[in-house]
Amino acid sequence: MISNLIVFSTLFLGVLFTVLYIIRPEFRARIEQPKYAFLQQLSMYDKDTAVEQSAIESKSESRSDNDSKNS
Amino acid sequence: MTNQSSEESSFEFNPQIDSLLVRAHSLAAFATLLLAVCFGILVSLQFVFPDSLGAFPSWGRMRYAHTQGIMLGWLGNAFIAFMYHAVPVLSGRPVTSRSLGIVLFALWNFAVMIPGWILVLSGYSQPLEWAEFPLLVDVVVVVAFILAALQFLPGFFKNGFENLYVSSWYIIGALVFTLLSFPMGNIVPELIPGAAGAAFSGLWIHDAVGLFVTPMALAILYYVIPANTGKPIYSHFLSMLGFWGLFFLYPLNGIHHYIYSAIPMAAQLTAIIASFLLGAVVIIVVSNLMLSQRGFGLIPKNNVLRFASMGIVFYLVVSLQGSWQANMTFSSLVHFTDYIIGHSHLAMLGFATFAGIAGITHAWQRLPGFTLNKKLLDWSYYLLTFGITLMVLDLTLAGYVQGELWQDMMPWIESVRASAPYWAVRSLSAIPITVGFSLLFYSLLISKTATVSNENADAVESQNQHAKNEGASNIEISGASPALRMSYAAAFLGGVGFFVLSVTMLGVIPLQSLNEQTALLAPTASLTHSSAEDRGREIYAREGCAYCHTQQVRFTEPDMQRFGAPTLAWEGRLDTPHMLGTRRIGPDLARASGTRTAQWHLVHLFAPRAVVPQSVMPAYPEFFDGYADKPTREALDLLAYIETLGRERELAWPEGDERARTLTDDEQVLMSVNAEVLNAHPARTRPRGSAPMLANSASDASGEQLFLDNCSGCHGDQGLGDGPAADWLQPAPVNFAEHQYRRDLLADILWNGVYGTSMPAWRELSIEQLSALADVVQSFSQVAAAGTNSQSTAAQLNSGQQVYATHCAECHGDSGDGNGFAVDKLPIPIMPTDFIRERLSEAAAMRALREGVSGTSMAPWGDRLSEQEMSAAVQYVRSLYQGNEVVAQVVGLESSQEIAGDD
Repeated sequence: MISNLIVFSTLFLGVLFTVLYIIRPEFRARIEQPKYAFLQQLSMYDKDTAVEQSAIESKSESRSDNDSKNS
Repeated sequence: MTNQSSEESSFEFNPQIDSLLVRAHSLAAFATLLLAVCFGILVSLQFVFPDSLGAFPSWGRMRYAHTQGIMLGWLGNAFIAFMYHAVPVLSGRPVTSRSLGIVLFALWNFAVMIPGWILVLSGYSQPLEWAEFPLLVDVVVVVAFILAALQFLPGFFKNGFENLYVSSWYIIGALVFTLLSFPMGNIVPELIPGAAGAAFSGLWIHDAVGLFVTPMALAILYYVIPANTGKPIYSHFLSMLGFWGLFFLYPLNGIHHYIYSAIPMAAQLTAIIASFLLGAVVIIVVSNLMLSQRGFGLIPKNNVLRFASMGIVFYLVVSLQGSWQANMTFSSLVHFTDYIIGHSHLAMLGFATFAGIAGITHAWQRLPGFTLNKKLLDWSYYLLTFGITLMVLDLTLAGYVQGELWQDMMPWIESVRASAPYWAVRSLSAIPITVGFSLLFYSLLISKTATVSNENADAVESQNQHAKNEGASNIEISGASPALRMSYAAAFLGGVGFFVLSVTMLGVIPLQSLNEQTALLAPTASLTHSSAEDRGREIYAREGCAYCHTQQVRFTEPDMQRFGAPTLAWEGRLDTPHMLGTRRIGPDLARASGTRTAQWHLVHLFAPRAVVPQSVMPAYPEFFDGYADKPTREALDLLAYIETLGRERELAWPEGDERARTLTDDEQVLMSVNAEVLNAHPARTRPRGSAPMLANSASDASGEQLFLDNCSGCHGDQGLGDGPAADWLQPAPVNFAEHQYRRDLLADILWNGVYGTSMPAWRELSIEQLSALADVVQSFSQVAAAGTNSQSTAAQLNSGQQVYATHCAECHGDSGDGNGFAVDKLPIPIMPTDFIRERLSEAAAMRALREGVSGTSMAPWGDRLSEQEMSAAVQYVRSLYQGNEVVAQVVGLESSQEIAGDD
């Protein structure tokens, strides 16, 4: 009895959402949207990181230049 | 970016990643990983060199440290490190605070891992799979999870759930549901005994994987794949279908760890169905992940993708394995074998570890100023892939071999012997794995390229300043309609509902059902444990005995044939927490009571290979004062506990089972109470009389090897009664050179053992093997030749007969058949020698008569009889031997062979 409930409720929900996905473009767009937003977030973060990375590298280079001058 | 909605809202994007915390947890992850792997290596070496671990804590304690180290130390730290990188990007907001992060780090490593390890290695633990740290540490783990939720979740709430990416779903799900399931799996089994407690324990075993490890690993994979391919994942819809499918079905899987147990069949079937459905969901998840990195190949050039890709492959294999293992027929074959150990290693060291490495390497390479050595990562990838694949294949094959041998009813030790090469390969596979992990750790340690110690802190500060100067970035995204917000709320409540449903269906309802069954069937007068038995139980738990010896005879034919009636729920009513176990290296102990003698157990604890030469059981000399016959209280307590296993059912039998037949129509219960034998243990001694006939001369040439494998520990390699265990056993093992046995008596002894002594029965050997053994034993005898040296006169025999009738017949019987009228009153219930079927050498007989036989009721007669009387009695009893006449009265088992005389 419980086993049947699990099988049928799982299949029902799976099929329901799949049908919704196929016949409702707005649902499809809505549910796919996060993957694009995430890509944008990644891109923005990578830009920020690149700025930080170049700042640290230039800082490091100037420090090693100073070191070599001192030596 | 698509933007189909009419509403627009602003998503504040101000990620500030605290690189200090990413680094701290990453390094802690690898440090704990290497330690946990060391524990694992030591544990595996026990199987290859059983006596090599004397200086270390016991095997069971290291096993506890190994599993908790992998799950909480390695994976816990790796996941937290990843979250410190990913959550700010996913939520667009920094985590709550660095101070909270430092507290969480300190708590996780210095209040959970280090004390947890110290405690379990010192003997303070829980005998629960994946929940081995003691309750005190469990409380700290719960607090740490609460802090982790406070650290990582607020960002998601602040920016709203409108565009919650699948990795965010998994992170939120993992933190929330682990907080729910961890206390259930770690604390509830401490309150509920036996099979019902095991049901909750089973839920946690699977929830630990399904609600903590898998969601976090999938969060990483869904994160790093688009981050490294530069493309969005194939389908967010499929990812969400997978997310809800996993969170719905994973918690329903738990009971599949206890198929064929006393847990109600309805709960078992629910778990089996859920397991199969889960396989389908995993295929959706894996397909989506693989499609998401299409074009990059199975071994991408990018190191992060490479680890992610192999993690996905491992995930597919381990999940399909898991589904298939739930199949009842397959479970009856592979459950309790190394197949399961291979499966769990594939899940934790394969799938989750590769995902964890992908997460850490991805995060680490994005730390300002840090790059990883690509060559080291390449080498690490290949070594780990090779090592883990080798280990899992090896253990899978070992599992099949063990399962087949058990189903074929081969002697238990055969499965141990057959496993030896597989266990050696398993240990060898640790080499590439350890080197692979070490290279990764090393690559992190040398990755610092252009910074000084506080520059990452500077970087964070700089990032913060940058954010202040520039103003937080904003991403325009489509807004959430009220209906969508409602759907998120409904989804969250649904998720919690699924969890509650699983606990209800697989924990609470079985508990109620088993309680009712126990109330109905358990003996009304409960036999409680004594203090010694309780202390023994604690020792059994702390030393991890349950990891090699189950305490459940399953409802399967092979189990019933080998061990007896399946274990009923009420038999575990005193077992809190339960120790049903999930692996059998040694035999099941549910019916251990009365199976072996105390001496055998003590020698077996002190020096296992003295009595079972092929055994891989750890020795416990710390329970003794230097010798097996000088046990400390701990050894005696442990022995007392072992003697409780199955005792209550045994005492209630057969009336208890007869009563049960009238009280219930439960098919499982009836299967147990209708079992032919309550305790079918093949080593259990039985009264003499019923034995199969042995072939006169066995064609099986393996007798000598059989003797060395099974008998030499006590009787010595040459049968002189001088094996390693001989000094600790009373009565001492027989010196076969001084004894001559008729073949039917040998059959009787081998088949039934010698009750009251440490000589077990050998019913698990085939008739051919027993015949071969009998050949070997008879070949040792030098009695016949010695007998011809001393010719007895009629006068001597008459005198001897009188002595015998006066002093010996009451025990040894008038005819000398060892069955005198006083046998039932003997202080030590060992049957006296049957002189008709057994002849001693003169010297041995004189020694026994003069000095008595230690450990038996045979008293010394040297001070009561003269030398002449004793000599006459010896001549007389030796004359009783009827070795050449085939007169055995054998009841019995099938064999067309005749019993033949021995000489």
